[in-house]
Amino acid sequence: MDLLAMVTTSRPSVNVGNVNVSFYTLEQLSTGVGTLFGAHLKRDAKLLWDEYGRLGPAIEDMGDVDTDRLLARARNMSELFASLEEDLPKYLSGLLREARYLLRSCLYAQAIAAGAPCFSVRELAVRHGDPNLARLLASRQEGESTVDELNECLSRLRSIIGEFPRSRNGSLEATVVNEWGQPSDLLSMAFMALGISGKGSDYAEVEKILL
Amino acid sequence: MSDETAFVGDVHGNLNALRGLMDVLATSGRPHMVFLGDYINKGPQSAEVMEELVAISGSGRATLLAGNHEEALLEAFDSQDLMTFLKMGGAMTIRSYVGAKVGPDVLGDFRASFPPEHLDALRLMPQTWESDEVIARHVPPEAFTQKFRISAHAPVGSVPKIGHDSAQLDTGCGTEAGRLTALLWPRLDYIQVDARGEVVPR
Repeated sequence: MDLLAMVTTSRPSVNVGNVNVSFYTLEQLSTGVGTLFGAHLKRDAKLLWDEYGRLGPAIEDMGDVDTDRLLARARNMSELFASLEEDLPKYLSGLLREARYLLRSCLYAQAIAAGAPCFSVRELAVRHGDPNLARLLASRQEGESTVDELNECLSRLRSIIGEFPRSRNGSLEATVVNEWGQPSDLLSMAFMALGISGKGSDYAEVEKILL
Repeated sequence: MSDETAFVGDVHGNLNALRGLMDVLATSGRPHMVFLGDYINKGPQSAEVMEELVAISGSGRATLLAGNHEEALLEAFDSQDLMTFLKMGGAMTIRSYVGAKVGPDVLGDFRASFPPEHLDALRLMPQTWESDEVIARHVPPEAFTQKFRISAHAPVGSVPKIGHDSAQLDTGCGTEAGRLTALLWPRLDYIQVDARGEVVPR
């Protein structure tokens, strides 16, 4: 179960069993306007408690998905996959998770742009006549990550957004170091590809990505 | 030099705060200083902070305890694996040492820029400082001792937490709103400077 809580200062998500609580400031939520995240919230979220009447209006303001912007952002972020010779196998798991996320988001955006919104990987698999797609896109995966899966995701991603931009930093670690302090989609993606962040004040946080 | 001891909380790469606090302590009888660890990460000047602290420690005026951020750095060098260090915000420290854009081999660039004397200092840092009355560590010491326990590590807000048997001194230095705190023993008084190194009035 995914819960969203509005807070005054940003803080890391909390995960207990099957419950995940993500915390958003009003400012962070505002970056969801025109995104899949915002559209998904607006369409599917149930408001449980909104004592000060701030969360409801913030979700109502999410607007329609700007699919062109989403695909352009996804292309920028795909720079992360242009230095695999440096980053594999060490970061295979994180890169595959990011590739899945981008591919899933781009397929949702394609469906919206075509006038037939869809937020289900199973439905996408049916629409594309491709049963493997549901397995490939599922956010919860069993078993070890494989290079083949990564390549499959990246190949499908390229067919949607085109060739990935050249890597300006040459590796995932160099991207984190060189981009640090200048919040961007690329930095957030690179940082998250390092692996699931730890908990507590010892672990750094980067801006959330709302696609 | 006074008989007092100044225990200093997390510095986290803020050179202005470190220098500001040192100036204040210099006018307060120059107590022996026990730094409680976490000299690097978060702020932009980890290399400069380490340089200053290594020099002060070498002159015998200070004891440098190990913090978990220093331990993570050593672990990165020893294991040839930067992942955990980067997740703790190590990018700022690497940039501070390398001084320019890093290339694809970040660990290689970092190692090449890291002074051997800093590495020696890191390896020699003890976990604990003790006297007859006080025990100080980066992470809070166990509660079963009769000694007064001093620690840092866990941010406690803008002012230190000083109780009858313990004190916690991490007041967020390394962030814009953070402060660097020194606890003066045995007076149990404290001094703070802000992120620019200016004394925070009490």
